[in-house]
Amino acid sequence: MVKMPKRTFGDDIRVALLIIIIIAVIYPIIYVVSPGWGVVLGHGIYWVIALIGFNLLFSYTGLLSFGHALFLGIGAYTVGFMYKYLGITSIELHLLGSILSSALVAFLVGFVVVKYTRIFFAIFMLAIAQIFWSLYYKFFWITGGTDGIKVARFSIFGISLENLDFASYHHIFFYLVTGIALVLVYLMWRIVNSPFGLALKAIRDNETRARFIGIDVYKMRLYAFIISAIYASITGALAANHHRLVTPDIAYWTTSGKVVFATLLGGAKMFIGPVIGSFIFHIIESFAMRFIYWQIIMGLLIVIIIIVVPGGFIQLIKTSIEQGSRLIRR
Amino acid sequence: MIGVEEIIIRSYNIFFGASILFLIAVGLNIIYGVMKIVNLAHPAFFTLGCYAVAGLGMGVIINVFGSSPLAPILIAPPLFAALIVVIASLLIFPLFLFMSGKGDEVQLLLTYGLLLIFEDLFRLIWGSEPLRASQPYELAGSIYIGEYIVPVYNIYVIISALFVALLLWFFLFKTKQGILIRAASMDIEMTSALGANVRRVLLITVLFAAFLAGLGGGLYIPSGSVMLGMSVELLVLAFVVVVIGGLGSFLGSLIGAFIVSLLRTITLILFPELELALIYIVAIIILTLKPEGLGGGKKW
Repeated sequence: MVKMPKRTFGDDIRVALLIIIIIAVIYPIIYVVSPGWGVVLGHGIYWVIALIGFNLLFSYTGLLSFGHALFLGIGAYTVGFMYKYLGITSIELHLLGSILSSALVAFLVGFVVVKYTRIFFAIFMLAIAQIFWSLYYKFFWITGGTDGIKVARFSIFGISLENLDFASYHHIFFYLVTGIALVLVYLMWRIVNSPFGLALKAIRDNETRARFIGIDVYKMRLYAFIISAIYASITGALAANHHRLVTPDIAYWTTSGKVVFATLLGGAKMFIGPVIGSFIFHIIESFAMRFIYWQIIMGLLIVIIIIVVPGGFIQLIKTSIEQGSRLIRR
Repeated sequence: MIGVEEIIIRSYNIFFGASILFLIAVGLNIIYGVMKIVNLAHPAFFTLGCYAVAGLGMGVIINVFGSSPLAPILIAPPLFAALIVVIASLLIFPLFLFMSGKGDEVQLLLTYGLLLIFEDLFRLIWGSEPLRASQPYELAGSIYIGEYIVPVYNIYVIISALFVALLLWFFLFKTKQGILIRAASMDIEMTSALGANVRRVLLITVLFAAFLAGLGGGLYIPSGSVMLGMSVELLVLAFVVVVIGGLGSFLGSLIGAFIVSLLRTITLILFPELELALIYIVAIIILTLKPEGLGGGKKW
C-alpha cells in the first residue's frame, strides 16, 4: 500500500461542495439586495462544471485545450436545435441531448486529436473550435447566424414555467444548477480518485512509464477527453437556458479563453481551484465588463498569474495562511 | 472547361496567398527553432503591421512623399510596419527570455495572454471597424489577362516575398549572425559554451521574426483590410503551414505556405463553407503519414 500524501484543503471534496453550498445559502440574501449579483452567482455556479471538466484534461491529463468553446457550443446549439426544430423545452431532455451529442462529437474529434499532445493538441483544439464556430456562422439558414436561436423558458418534470414571474423562474434555475453542479463536482472527485484518474496522472507525469506498466495511454486520454467534453457541454446547455438565446459567440475562441483563464485564476493544480476560479472570474468580469476593453485585463492577469503565482488564487491563500501561522508561532 | 487564363489567374492568387503565409510562418518557425517557443501571439505581429500602416503610416507616407513617384509609396509602408512591430517585440522581449526553457503550458498560456492583450489593444487604439490602406494598390493599377483583371500590386507582393525569402536564406546561411542563430537552434548550451552571446542571439531571433511578420503585414494591407479577430484566423492558418512543413524548418515554411494557399484556393471554389475544415483534414493526414512534416525533418 502506497502511503498517500497528506491532503490539503485545496484537494478536498468537502471544501469544494461547501463553497457551492455557502453560495447557494447566501444567494437569496444577495438576490434581495441586488438581483444583478444574484445572476452573476448563477453564472458562477454553472460555469464550475465546464471549468472542472477542462481541468480534468489540463491538470490531471496534461492536455491544454484552447478550444473548449467547441463543447460549450455543442451543448448550447443542441438546446437551440431541440427547441427550434422539435419544440422541446424539457431541461432534462436538453441535458440528455447535450450529453449525447457532445460525447459523439468528442469521440469523433478526440479520436484524432488525443494522438497529439502539447502544442499540437492545443492548436488543433483551437482550430476545430474555430471551424465549428464558422459553421454556426455560415449556415445561417439552420443556425440563425449571428442573430442566433431564441429559446423559450424551460420546463422541468413536465411542468412548464412559462407563466412564472421572472424572480421565481430565476430562483428555480439557480437551485437547479446548484444541484447539478454539486452532483457533477462530486462525480468528478470520484473520477479523479478512481484508478482511471490515477492512470491519467501517471500519463501526465511520465507517458513512457505509464505505457510500460500497461496503461493504454491513447484510450485513457480519449476517455478523459470525452468526459471533459460532456462537462463543458452541460455548461453550454445551461447557458443556453439561462440566456435563452444561442449565438455563435459561445463557440468563439474568446469563450475558450475564458475557460482557460478562469481555471488559472482559481488555481489549476488543485481540485477546488476551478470551483473558486469560476466565482472570482464572474465577479471580476461583472466589474470589468463596464470597462469594454476587458480582454486586456484578462490577458494581463494571465501573464501576471503565470509569472508571479502559477498556482492561482488557491496558492495565494495557502501561502498567506502559511505566512500567517509562521508569524503567530513566532 | 478551365481556360489557360483562369489557370494563370488562380495560380497567381495562390502565389499571393503563399507569399503572405510564408512571411508569417517563417517567423513562427525561426522563434520555435531557436527558443522552442510556439509563439501564439506571432500572428498578432502581422496584424499590428497591418494596423500600423492602415491606421497611422499610410497617411504620413502620402503626406511626406506625395503620390507621384510610385516607389516610395510601395516601399515605405512595409518598412514602416516592420519598424513598429520590431519596437513592439522589443518591449515584450523580456517575456520571451522568461519563457525560454520553461514548460510548454507556461509558454502556451503566456503567449495566449499576449494574444488577448494585442487583440484588445487593436480595438482600443483603432476601433472595431475594418481598416484599409488601398492607395498603393490603386496607384499601381492593374493589367488584363484575357478577361481577368490582375492587380499589379499583388505582383509586387509576390516579388517582394521572393526577395525576402532570398535575403533570409542569405542571412541564415551566409552571415555570421545567421550561422549563430542556426547553431543556437541546434544546441543552445554548446553555442553558449563556444563563446557566443546567447542572449543577443535570442534577441536578434525575436526581433528578426517580428520584422518579417511586420513586413508581411505592411505588404498585405494595401490589397485587403484588417479587422479584429484576424490574428486568431491567421494563427490557425499559419499553424497548418508549420505542421505541414515541419516545426522549425525554413524550407518547410515555404512548402507549407504554398500547399495551404493552394488548398485554400481550391476549397474556396468548391466548398467555401468548409474551407478551414478541409485544410485541417489535409494537415492531419500529412501529420499522420509524415509526422516530421514535408520539410523532410531537416532543421534548415
